Amino acid sequence: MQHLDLELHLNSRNDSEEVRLVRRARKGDRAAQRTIYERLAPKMFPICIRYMGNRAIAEDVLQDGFVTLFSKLDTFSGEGSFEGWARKIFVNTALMSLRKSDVLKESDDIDSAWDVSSDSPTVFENLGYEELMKMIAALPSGFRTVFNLYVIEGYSHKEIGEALGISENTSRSQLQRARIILQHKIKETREKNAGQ
Amino acid sequence: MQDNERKFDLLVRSAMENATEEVPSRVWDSIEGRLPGRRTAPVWRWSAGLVGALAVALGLVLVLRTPSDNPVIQIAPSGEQPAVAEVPATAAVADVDPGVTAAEPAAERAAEAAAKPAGAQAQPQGGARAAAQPEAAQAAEPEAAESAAPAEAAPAAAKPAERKPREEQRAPEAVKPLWESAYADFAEPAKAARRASLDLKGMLGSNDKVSGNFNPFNGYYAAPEKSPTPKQGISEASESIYGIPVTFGLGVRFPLAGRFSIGTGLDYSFLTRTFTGSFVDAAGAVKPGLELVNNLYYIGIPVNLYYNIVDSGRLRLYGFAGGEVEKGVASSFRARNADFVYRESVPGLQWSVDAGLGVQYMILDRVGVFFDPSARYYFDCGQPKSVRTQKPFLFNLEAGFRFDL
Repeated sequence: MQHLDLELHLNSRNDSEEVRLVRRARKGDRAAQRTIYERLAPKMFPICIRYMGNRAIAEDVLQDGFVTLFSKLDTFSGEGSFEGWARKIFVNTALMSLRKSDVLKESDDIDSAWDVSSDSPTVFENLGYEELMKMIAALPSGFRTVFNLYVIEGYSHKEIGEALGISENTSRSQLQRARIILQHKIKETREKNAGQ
Repeated sequence: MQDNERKFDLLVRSAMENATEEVPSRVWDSIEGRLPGRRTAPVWRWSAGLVGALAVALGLVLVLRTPSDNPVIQIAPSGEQPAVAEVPATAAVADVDPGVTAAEPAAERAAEAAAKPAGAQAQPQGGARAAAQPEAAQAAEPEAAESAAPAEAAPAAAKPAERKPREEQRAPEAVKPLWESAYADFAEPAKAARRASLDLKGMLGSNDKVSGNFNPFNGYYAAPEKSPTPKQGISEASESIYGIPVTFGLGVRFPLAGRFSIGTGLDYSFLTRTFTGSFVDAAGAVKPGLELVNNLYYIGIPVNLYYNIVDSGRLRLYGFAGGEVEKGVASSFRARNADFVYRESVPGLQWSVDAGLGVQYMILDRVGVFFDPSARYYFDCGQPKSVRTQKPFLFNLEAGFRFDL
């Protein structure tokens, strides 16, 4: 037994610190789990807020995501970025939560008369994180989800349609509406700030 | 056009990509509690359990304790007159003859009647009393009768050497279990419990985590109701975040027969929720993307029936059940991100029933503090959306001051 432990230890010396941490966490080492949590939580929390629309629900999703992450550590192959792998878990956890509360189907009742902005993208430059996060969080759930998946996670409309159970066209139109709402909000805020 | 969209997307992505947020420490605590190897109950659950356990423990301590008001008869070891002294039972519990304590109330009643004409100068209570009540003394306490005899025949008492040691005088059959004598003390409510009282109280509500997400510090969250956009008024577009309901009130309690009492009063409740929604005005114009705070105010009249389980004078443990009728007096929607306020009336009445356990501790002669954890069910009475309509079964913790009148 001691021999085996030593062998594992020697093997692990060649691994990255991250992989060793994951290996320890996989065995239930609470300190390693805590370290992983401390490294990932500040980065995953904004993802959860972006999808859920408010911090408090995002906290619950963050919890659920970490519980899933620690229970699925066995499935992490060690190839590729651990953070990228973790990010997928949190996005999926958020999507599951949204699906469960059935809010994804409730975005079409927002009837916006706004048009697509014809402004140059430079109008939207220097966007502050906090300002933008608030605006994204305030989007209707369906628009917000598609916008996050497409613009930030980089999924295609086909993948989004499959993930959310909607058609590609619905995904496209929701993305478009989300963009319009965001652009108008940004402009409004800019104008308001300029007026002050 | 598409190029503009792509550039906009890139700007958003670059602003969001490396974002970090400070995470409250409670998140790790909750995660750790759910990981294998250790299980921690949520704060609200263990604190509710703690309150319950504390109430039961206090009740047990009092039930198993010798009542402090009962005098204990101590016989002086020497002296020509039979000296009788009273000391609190708690101070001499190890040296107390339980038989004496148990028989004392009967002896006391008879003594009060008999001791006066006898003109017992030394002590109108204690041994003299026992002497004046031979049947009580004989039935339960031969020792008491024997030791009290000097009140009638002083010369006999002048010979303490002849008296048997205290232990030998005890009649085994007269010794009752401690819990039995204590129970006798609680069999009838203390005088204070028979007084009317005035309550000054506050109450916090919560709700159980059945299917929604509940955070005891921030509130309960539920999905919006599927409702068509109204012709005029508020339309919801996001989840609602429900704040913890808060109630303040004044109450009165009147004693009924035995251990029962009835309470009523006036409550003022405040309910709040936040959500994103839109507003359609009379002209049909839509104001979308409003971050709205909906405040609901209720005035209610509760009626509860109380039953005193334990009453030691200083501490009471009681159960209660009843109901309340409330009238919504105002409902307002205020936007956080715009200059927007919308008010609407609240039709109808809200009916509810509740049941719970309470603990009261007297901090002053006529002033007590009380904690009444309870469960309450709100009936569907067509009231505006609130935590009560979303989660009609709520747990409440009421606390306050009770003034005996």
